[in-house]
Amino acid sequence: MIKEILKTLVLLIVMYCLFLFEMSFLPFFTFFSFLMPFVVLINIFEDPSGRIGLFSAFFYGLLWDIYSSHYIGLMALSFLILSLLLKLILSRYVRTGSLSWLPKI
Amino acid sequence: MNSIFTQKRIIVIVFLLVCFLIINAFFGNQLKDFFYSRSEQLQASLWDRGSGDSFARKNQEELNKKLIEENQKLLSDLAGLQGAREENESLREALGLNLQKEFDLILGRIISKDILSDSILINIGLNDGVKKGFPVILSGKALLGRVVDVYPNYSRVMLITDKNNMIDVEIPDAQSFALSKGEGELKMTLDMFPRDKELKEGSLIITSAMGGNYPAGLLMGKVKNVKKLDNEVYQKAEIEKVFDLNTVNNVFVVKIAEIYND
Repeated sequence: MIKEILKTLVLLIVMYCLFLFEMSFLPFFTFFSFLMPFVVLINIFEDPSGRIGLFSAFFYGLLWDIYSSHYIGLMALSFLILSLLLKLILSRYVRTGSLSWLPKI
Repeated sequence: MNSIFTQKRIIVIVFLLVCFLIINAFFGNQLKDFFYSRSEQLQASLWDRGSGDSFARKNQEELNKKLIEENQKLLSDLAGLQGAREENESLREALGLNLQKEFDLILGRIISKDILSDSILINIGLNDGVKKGFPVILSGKALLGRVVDVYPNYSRVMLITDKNNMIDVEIPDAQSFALSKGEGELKMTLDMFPRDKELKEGSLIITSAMGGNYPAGLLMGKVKNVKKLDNEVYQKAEIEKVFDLNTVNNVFVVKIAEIYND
């Protein structure tokens, strides 16, 4: 249980740092968000039973809500539900090789 | 289906939804302000590095910044002179008043830019006297945008290039009014310019007081790539903006008495 909480906290801290980097440093070089495709890729290649994709989608949405003019939770819940739908589609209709080395939460 | 949307997960989503509703209803802005204050130093440092301080270009950047500011000021002065000098003089004489009001400004600093929209976060807010709708300008009287969200110590500024931004503008050269439309990705276009008037490349564009959101006479940009199509009622053009966000650190929020459209 403690190990799971620690893993989630590490994920949150890493995403927070990457998000601040994206918001304050990257606007000088690109209009494109690099974190969003990263989150999508995790969700696509993760084992459908894993939760790291769900957590990363939720945290990314939450950070985006906080650092934009959206209502807090709008993107967080939307991304969480989209992540679940993506997992549903992938588990039912698509066969991909999942990344078994991804740490599980 | 059951293994993904389990009952437990649905309950968690509903619980989160309720929590977020409560947060937004009672202390959404305070929570955002808290996060901004915690990350301000790191973000400001990243912004400085991104804008060139860490790439051994400091002197060049500073010189460039000074030249851009000077250019903006000169263009702004020129635009103001072209359109309104005679009118101003006659009005001042007639009324015996000095209509040239100094702006009441609040100095702020850019902390971050939203990567998916044209909005920036600045480090002044409600406690500094900022209100929703206040215009934001640069040192050379060039318009940058307007405040759309105010938190206790921070504000969010929608840039003039944002897709949701439409501004009434004046082209003193052509003695005509038009509309500036934000296109996103730091681009904007000029629309609704009358077909029967001549629109010249390089003409200066300034804000008009007609819209009510901005004081008149703030510099917007220059006309570029004029398009006059046979089947369209109005002429269109691109607007070359006068600011480079990469070199901007400090901005000024203009305190205005009345905000009509907010």
